[in-house]
Amino acid sequence: MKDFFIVFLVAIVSDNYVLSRWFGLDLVIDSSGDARPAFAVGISVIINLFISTLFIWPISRYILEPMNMMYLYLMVCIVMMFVTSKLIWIVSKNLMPKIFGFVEAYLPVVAISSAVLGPNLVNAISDVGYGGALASSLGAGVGFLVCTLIFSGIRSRINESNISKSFDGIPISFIAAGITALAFSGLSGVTQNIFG
Amino acid sequence: MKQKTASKIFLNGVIENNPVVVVLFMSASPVLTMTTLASSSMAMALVFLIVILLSSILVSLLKKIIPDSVKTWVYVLISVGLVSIATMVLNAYFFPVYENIGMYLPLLVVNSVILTCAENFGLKSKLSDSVVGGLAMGVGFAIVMFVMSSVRELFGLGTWFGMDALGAINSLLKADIQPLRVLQTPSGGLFVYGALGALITYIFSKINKQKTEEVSGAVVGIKEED
Repeated sequence: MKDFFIVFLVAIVSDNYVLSRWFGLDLVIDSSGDARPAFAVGISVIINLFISTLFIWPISRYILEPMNMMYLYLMVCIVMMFVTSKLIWIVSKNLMPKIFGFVEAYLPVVAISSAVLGPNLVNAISDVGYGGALASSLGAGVGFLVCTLIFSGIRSRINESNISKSFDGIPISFIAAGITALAFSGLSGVTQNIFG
Repeated sequence: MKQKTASKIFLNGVIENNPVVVVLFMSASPVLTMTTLASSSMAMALVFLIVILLSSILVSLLKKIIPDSVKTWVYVLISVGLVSIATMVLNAYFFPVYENIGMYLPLLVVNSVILTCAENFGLKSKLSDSVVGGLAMGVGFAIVMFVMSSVRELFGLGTWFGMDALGAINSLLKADIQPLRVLQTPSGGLFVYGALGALITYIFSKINKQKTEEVSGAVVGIKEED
């Protein structure tokens, strides 16, 4: 349990997938400065990532690896991401219409983004077991949510300030992302000795 | 005449519709983390060029039988096949390159440039146009990869394509310039990308200003003739 918690924390804080590997940076940079859509994107990434890992890890461990077919891993990932996104669409539309109305616009965008594919690729090469893979996926999703919320705040401050013409828009977002990434890299020692 | 239109499409893709300038600005791909070393990023750009060329040809050939409701997923599956083939070829014949970029190669699949290219060039135009368009997108991407990786490797590590470039500059200028290690980290990559974007926006705003002045002058001239 302790190990899973450490994996979860590492994926959120010290090795944040968005800032250290740029998984899903495109969705984060697009932020409009409003916290509500940012929260919706984050929630849909968490749901998509967790459920797709739930399927992809057992398939790769119990079907692909014994049959020595790991070259099909990418194909399996994409197909399972497709299946997951359809599943979430149907289930949430019928059973949870309130949540569905909140995340409806972002589900198809998130389904084929690197925010969902990237952590699954990392899970394939890291040897942490099923629980560890799920914990790391959940951590990646929560880390993504943290990043989108931080960025909606940064974006709203940028919108109010006076920025030179060439840097206005996307370039200044990248500079801000760079500073945020530098700040997060300062937290890299925090998770190492958290349990003594 | 035909050659002229082809070159026009090519230039349009390289300069005006440069994938990194227009599309990737809206979606920085994780592929760009690979720009720490010039040699591996050029390998990545080559793989990208081949994949985007073949995928736009395949989409252009298959456009009549792809149903409209699942077309995005069909594009993704086509590029999955191509990227898997590229990964296996690199693993078999170019293992040092594969060790560097193998981890990030699968992320080409969800790259929005490939999807946009398939949508714009593959679906709506003839086969020859889609070939030229895909080639242009690939070349534009390679140019940006080259510039970014050169800056990051030269000023971050002091080398360029593995050669000791900063040492040569130091001995030439009799100076003592030290490499800036932060450029090798992901945050340094974001700084370089933002600065490059600002530079490109500046240059393009200058060019577009000239163009609009010429166009508006022409329009005024026509109106006066009328």
